Amino acid sequence: MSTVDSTAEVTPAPATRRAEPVLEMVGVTKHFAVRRRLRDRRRRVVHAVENVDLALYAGQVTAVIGESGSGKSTVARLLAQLYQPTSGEIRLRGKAVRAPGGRRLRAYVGQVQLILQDPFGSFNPVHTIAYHLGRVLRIHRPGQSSAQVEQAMADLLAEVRLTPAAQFTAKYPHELSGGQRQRISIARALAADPAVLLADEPVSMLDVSIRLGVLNLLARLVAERNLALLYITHDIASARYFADTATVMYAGQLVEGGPAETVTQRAAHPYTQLLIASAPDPDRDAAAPRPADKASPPSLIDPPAGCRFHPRCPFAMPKCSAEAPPRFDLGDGHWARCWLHEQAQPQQAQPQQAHP
Amino acid sequence: MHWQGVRMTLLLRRAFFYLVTAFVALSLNFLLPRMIPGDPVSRMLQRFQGHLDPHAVFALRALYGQTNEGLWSQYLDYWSRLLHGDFGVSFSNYPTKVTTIIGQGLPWTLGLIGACTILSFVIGTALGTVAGWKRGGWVDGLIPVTTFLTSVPYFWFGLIAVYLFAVELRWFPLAGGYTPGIEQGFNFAFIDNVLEHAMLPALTIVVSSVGYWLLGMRNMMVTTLAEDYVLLAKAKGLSRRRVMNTYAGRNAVLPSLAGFALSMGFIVGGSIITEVVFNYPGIGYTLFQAIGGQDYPLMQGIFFIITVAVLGANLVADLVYVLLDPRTRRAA
Amino acid sequence: MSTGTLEHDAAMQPTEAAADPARATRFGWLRGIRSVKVIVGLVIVLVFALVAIFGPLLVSTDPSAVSNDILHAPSAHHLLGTSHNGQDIFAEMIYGTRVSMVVGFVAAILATILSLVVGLTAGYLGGVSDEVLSLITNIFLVIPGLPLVVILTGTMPNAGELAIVIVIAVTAWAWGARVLRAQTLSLRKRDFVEAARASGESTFRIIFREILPNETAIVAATFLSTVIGAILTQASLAFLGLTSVTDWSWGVILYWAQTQNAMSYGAWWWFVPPGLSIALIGTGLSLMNFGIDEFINPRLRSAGIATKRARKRAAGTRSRTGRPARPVAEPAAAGDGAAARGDVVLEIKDLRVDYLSGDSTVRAVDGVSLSLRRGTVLGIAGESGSGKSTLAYAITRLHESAAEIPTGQILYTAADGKRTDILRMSDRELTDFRWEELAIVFQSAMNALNPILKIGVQIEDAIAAHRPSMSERQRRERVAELLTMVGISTDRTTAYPHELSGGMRQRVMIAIALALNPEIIVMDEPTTALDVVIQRQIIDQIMELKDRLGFSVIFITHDLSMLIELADEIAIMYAGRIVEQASAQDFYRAPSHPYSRGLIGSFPTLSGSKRELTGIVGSPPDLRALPTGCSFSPRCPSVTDECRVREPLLLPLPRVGEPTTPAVDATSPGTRVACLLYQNSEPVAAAEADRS
Repeated sequence: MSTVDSTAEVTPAPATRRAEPVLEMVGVTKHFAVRRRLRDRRRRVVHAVENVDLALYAGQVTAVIGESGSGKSTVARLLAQLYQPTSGEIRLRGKAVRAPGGRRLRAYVGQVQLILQDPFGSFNPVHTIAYHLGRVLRIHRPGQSSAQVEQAMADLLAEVRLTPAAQFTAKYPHELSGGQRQRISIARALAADPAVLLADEPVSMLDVSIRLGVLNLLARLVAERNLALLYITHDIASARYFADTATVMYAGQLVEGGPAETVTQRAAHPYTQLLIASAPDPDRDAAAPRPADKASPPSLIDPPAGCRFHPRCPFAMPKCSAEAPPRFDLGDGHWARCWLHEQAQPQQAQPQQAHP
Repeated sequence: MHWQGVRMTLLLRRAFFYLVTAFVALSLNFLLPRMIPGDPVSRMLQRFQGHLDPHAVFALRALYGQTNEGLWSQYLDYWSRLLHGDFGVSFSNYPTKVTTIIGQGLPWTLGLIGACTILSFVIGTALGTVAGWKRGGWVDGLIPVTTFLTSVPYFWFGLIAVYLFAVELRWFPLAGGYTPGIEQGFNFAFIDNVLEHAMLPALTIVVSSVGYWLLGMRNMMVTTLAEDYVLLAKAKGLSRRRVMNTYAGRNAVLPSLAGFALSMGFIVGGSIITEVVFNYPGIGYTLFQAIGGQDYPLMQGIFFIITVAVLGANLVADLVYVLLDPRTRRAA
Repeated sequence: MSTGTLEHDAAMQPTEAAADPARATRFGWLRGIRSVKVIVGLVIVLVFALVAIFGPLLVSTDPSAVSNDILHAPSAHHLLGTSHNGQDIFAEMIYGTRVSMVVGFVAAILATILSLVVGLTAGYLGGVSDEVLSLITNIFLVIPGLPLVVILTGTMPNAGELAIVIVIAVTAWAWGARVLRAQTLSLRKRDFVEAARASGESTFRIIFREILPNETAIVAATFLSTVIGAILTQASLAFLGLTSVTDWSWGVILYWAQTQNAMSYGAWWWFVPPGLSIALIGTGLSLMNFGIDEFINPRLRSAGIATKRARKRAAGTRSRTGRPARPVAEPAAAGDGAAARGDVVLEIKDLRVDYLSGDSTVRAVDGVSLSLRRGTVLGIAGESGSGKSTLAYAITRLHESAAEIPTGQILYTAADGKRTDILRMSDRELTDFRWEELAIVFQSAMNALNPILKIGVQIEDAIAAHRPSMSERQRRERVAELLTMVGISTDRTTAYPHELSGGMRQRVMIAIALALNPEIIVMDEPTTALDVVIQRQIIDQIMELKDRLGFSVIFITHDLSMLIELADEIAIMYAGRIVEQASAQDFYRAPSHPYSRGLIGSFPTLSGSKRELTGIVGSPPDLRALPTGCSFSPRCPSVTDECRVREPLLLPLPRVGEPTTPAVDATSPGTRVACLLYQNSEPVAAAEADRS
């Protein structure tokens, strides 16, 4: 019953970059406390997200690419206000918002909706689809009659290409396939009529043959509703096809960003290069050198000093372990946090490193 | 060295928890008599009709907080006496000290109930391993029977055992820990006599508690058998015994062991009442007599000793758990 | 973030799949009632409840009335005989039922409410409130409850029933609170709770509408066991004379029986009925609880119907063939086509695997024929429910007991040319064969490694089982050699699985598989749970070892692009069948089956210019309701009317201008495809003939 959307192009036309971001995180850091042991004197924290700047624009797809433990899901939950940042700001349409709960959170989530990875786990098994959709409609569009709610539900299901609605509303989650559930997840997010969608690995648990349909659906919604979409993924190839802007996250930090095609085709950061070289790709020249990397990401309780990638980096220099690299601008919106690009202009003026 | 240090930390934390628990339990022991509405002391004095020694009257008043001292100083006094091992003087066996009476009963209880609890855990776990391994096998068929036996009150099972094996069949002595008048000592005749008397109560306790462990272990075993590592062990061609014991059993026993610690209080309580049925000269029977004689100092002393014993046994169970499960050594 | 759980072949665990819906719907738990245990339990409890409610109204005898009928045995006049002062025990029992039941149920209700409040609060709020509440709960759990109750009631002389109820409730809530806290904690972390929070639901609604309904079964189980405990405790207290000895309850009857030496008089009618009643109601409640337990965890059922049926069928097959289960070992004789078969190490012929669940049979693998050449990688790709994992388990004969293999052969050709059918091996032979010649690497190394054994021991185990003559030192050396081979330093031999990273654990799995230098390794999604970079490391390691040691690999995955890179030959499975088999390069350059084309067209590529992604419409099929004709027909862009009625056979792809060759042999090279686009009606008969 789920169909591939033929109405939308896979890649939406890039919108102008001049516009103000709808949702933004500025210098956000999130530390999680680790339970202290008996003999621990100092308080230990997991540096899950460190000093992240990220902006989402209307009508655009921004991808955050990272491995497990990179902090990419924490970014989504920070933007959804499910976690409060340790420092830094979340700005909605330029205004800093802190909505830890209650009415403020309700108002906020009316604007910013989260779509979770697991289509099996994100529905309560004891409630019908109608309950799930109806609750969001009643929370965010109060004062509607049952008939109006019913109509709204049917409209939403039609929008995610699940028709006839009656075939789905009375069902329990387990009675639907993974792809259908993920479409209903999207419908549930749309029920609040948000301006921003945060999609945390929306297709990684779906079968290969139905992933494309769900991604195309999201792309169509971005275009039609002028939504800002955060696309969190571990699959760098899908970001190339699906996102306008791609950022790469490693050990809690953004290490590279820029137009998706540039980041995937001319990766500037050694970590991005490692990711690309590791990804399965039948088109790649079989003779191409293989990465010799044998290490794994660092502990986030005690991250390495300087650049967090330096212990694994084939190009590591003495400087890398001493000082964290700033953003270096590589032109056309492409940037990387890597000392290899020191010749390029740093984006933020930092006197001691600024080379003429 | 490092992980051993961590292991010690974990055990120290558990020991600390048991200290807190003991503290709470004994504080309850102090507080509860003081929370009874009305004037229980006068009611009791009436019942004793002046047979009580003035010291005992004073002790009784102290127990219920009817002294001139403030609650706090009473509380401090209570702890100071506990820590000095001074539980006062028994009412019903006046003027024997409470510690003396407990000292007489304790070896009997430790011997009977300690041994039986461990025995029934071992038997139940072993049977449960087999029942879970061969679901639908003959051991599995025992489960309805053992469930029934688990639901039977210990003391009633004891009554039936006495009726059948002591009264009707005369296989075992009717009651007591040994034949009265027999020369006590470390000699064969006495030990044989003691064992003969212990058989029936032991049987009662083991039979009525074994089903509990059997069922728990069986269910954990079934869950564990579905694990990939058991399948891999079979695929590797390991012997049936090694798969059942080292791969499935050792993992399945862990929750049972944790349960063992937690259910100890319940099982020991049930076993103690069993002593009453057999007039077994242990702590339980003493407690029963103390209740009959409204001997509060003795009751408090017994509660103290049971609490300490159960908490100590818990600590031992924790120790075994840590030895069996390497994951706990990471100080979770 | 990982795709670890992506690939559950839907048909793998039919029991769970069947139980899940029951659990999920709101009144689904009522289905648990269908179990015999629950019905028996319910009847017992209901009978006692009716006696408790109406009994005293119907019995005219005053249970406390003294008479001269002292210690009479049961008779028509005194149904259960009389006591030492002539009281009617039947009347005592009826009145006693009411007190025991009321105390038990009321105490359990109070205790359950208390556990719910504590468990939900601690589990949902977490943090400091959780730590404090958990501490209190654990303290109450560890304090010896019954002695405490005994002493509590002992200090309250002649306590009334209300006091008893409260005392029991206070000492009985902790277990339930602990269980409910754990359950709430795990539910709170579930995605649907996060989704509810992210959609702006209030905490109150999340606790009571999202979390609590999912705990119904556990609350019921806790309640029932608390009732048992409360009835037992009340009986114990009464037996010790701690309740009012003139208010009849079962325990009080036993108290009088004990103090008046009923045993010595042989007055069994006096002490048997009360204890029996307690045991009966306890059994009834436990039986209901079993029903709930089995509903929560369906595996606990003694032996599922499916298992029984499978066993019966297996027995039937054996007796029908009447053949000793002996391997059919035949030397590679000339004229057997062995020469043509060449270097084939494993040949699967027309393999079927059925799952029996309840009354229905689901065919998870349907007529699969494949061959694996020595030293090569055969890749099997498919979506969930395609049967690829079932195939992997069937090849190693590790399939669940609910699965059976009605037809097929899995022929293994040893290095010396001896051919053996794995499906005909006895258990004994299978144990010797497996791991020696054919090893398997499971999807999740975390689950496949025993958490309480050192990794060195787990490798050594396999060696010890198959090489009993090897000395311990030799085994140790082999373990060190294997670890070095897979890139783990030998000082980790004594590490436990939880001390290793995901990638390291998968390396250990490979070391275990290599332990006896097998000819074939079956790998079931060995890297699915891993991140790309680690995945690449592992794959490179596998390929390097394969080239060095010369084993053959059956590699099962859903990741087609990875498979194209590493496999020599690729087979695509759909709905239990192979729809296309080809060399990896041919397959990637020119996929023939419309499904294959759709799959290739679903993968975004990294290098080269972007291409148009086409994808496939619809969802993977439900094996329980497959369409007629070609299973792919509902999703196929090139579907014709014929596709909906005729099942295509897997036949060699005709070269342009050539008719289809009727000689079908799984071992012959070249592309084979099961699609009517490439087939006309003629070759069917020939293919049928070949099959038989």
